[in-house]
Amino acid sequence: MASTRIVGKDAVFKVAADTGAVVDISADGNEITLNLELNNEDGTGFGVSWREFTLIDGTFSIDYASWYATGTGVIDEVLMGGPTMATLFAKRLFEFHPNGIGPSSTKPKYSGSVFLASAPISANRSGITTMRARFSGASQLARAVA
Amino acid sequence: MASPRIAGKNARLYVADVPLYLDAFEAEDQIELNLEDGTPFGADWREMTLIDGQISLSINAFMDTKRPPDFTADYVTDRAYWDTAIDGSNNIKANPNVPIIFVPGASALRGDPAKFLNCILGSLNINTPRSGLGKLQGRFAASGQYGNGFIIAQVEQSFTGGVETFIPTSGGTDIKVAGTLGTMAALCVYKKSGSSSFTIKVQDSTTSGGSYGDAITFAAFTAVGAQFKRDVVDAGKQFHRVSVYGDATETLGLIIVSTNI
Repeated sequence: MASTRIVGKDAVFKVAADTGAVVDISADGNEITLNLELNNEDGTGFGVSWREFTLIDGTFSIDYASWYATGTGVIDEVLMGGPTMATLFAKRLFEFHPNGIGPSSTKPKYSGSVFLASAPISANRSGITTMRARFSGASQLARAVA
Repeated sequence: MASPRIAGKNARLYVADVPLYLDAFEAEDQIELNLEDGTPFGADWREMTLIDGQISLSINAFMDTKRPPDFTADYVTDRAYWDTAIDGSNNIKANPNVPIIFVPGASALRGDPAKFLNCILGSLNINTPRSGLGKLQGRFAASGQYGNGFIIAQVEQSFTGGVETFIPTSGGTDIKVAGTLGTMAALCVYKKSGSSSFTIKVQDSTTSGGSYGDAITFAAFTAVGAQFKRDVVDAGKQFHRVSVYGDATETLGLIIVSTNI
């Protein structure tokens, strides 16, 4: 017997356009990956046959794939820092809900602060224009289930 | 004639106190031996020298919403990875080492081979595509010696309080080699029906039905959990058994893997 799988289509991603409150931009998104990286350093001493690693610290990044959409409150304006790009370099809050809006015992919420690292816009003659945003973690990554 | 093939679908994997194989779909145990070119002048063929070894584990799982093996308690699978490195306050753990038991064979019964080691989470990717299932890709780095051992207990049973129970009830499990230094073992208690204190030991003997002594004594526990222990107080004994003692009668689901070193 297996457990209930979490379906990707229910994921929710929110990110702030500036230093203020988060904005839900999920309606135009199609894939999100949260990458947690922990830095383990080799701490092996003399005389030991197997390498011993020691955990130093952690960092995270987020890859967000979206259809390109313009207008107030959608991905182009939110990620680009508004019409004047005044907040493009702002440290922003984010929320990632892999199983729909939470937090609850079966709907974890990941949150923290990020900087926008890259946001290439790809326009193909034969397809929908897409935008792939990468965010770099700028704080502790928090997981909550209540 | 070739030997029977082992189908990957039957593999088992225990990460800390979670039987994660019930939510996972791929595991890779990577052994890397670090060799350095030690060829001197005048040699026609390169001569490599072994320096040491290191292990990493890749474990990919589905994001699910109940805790295995009973699938009754709310539990999102990412916690099986997350809790190995991050404490309850979202801080990096001071001691993040967790035992991982990997049984790649066709069955997971007492006497079957199993790999085990103490690991630190290296990375975790949580991927939620719009058109697919949420998945977890985790990678662990070993923080010490690799264990190439045998399952000496794999049970879900009631243990009578105040009575020392042995697994097996008589004799022991042949772990094939006597060893010269000591014993190494990993314990995963993934199910526990109550909150009384239990102590589990690995005992060894030179013959299956002989006199058993304590080789490893795991720390007493009151809840599900996992432990890894390497001890050099006893050595040279090929047969292992498990001793379980609880203050009150409870049902435990557990797996214990050991080897001589």
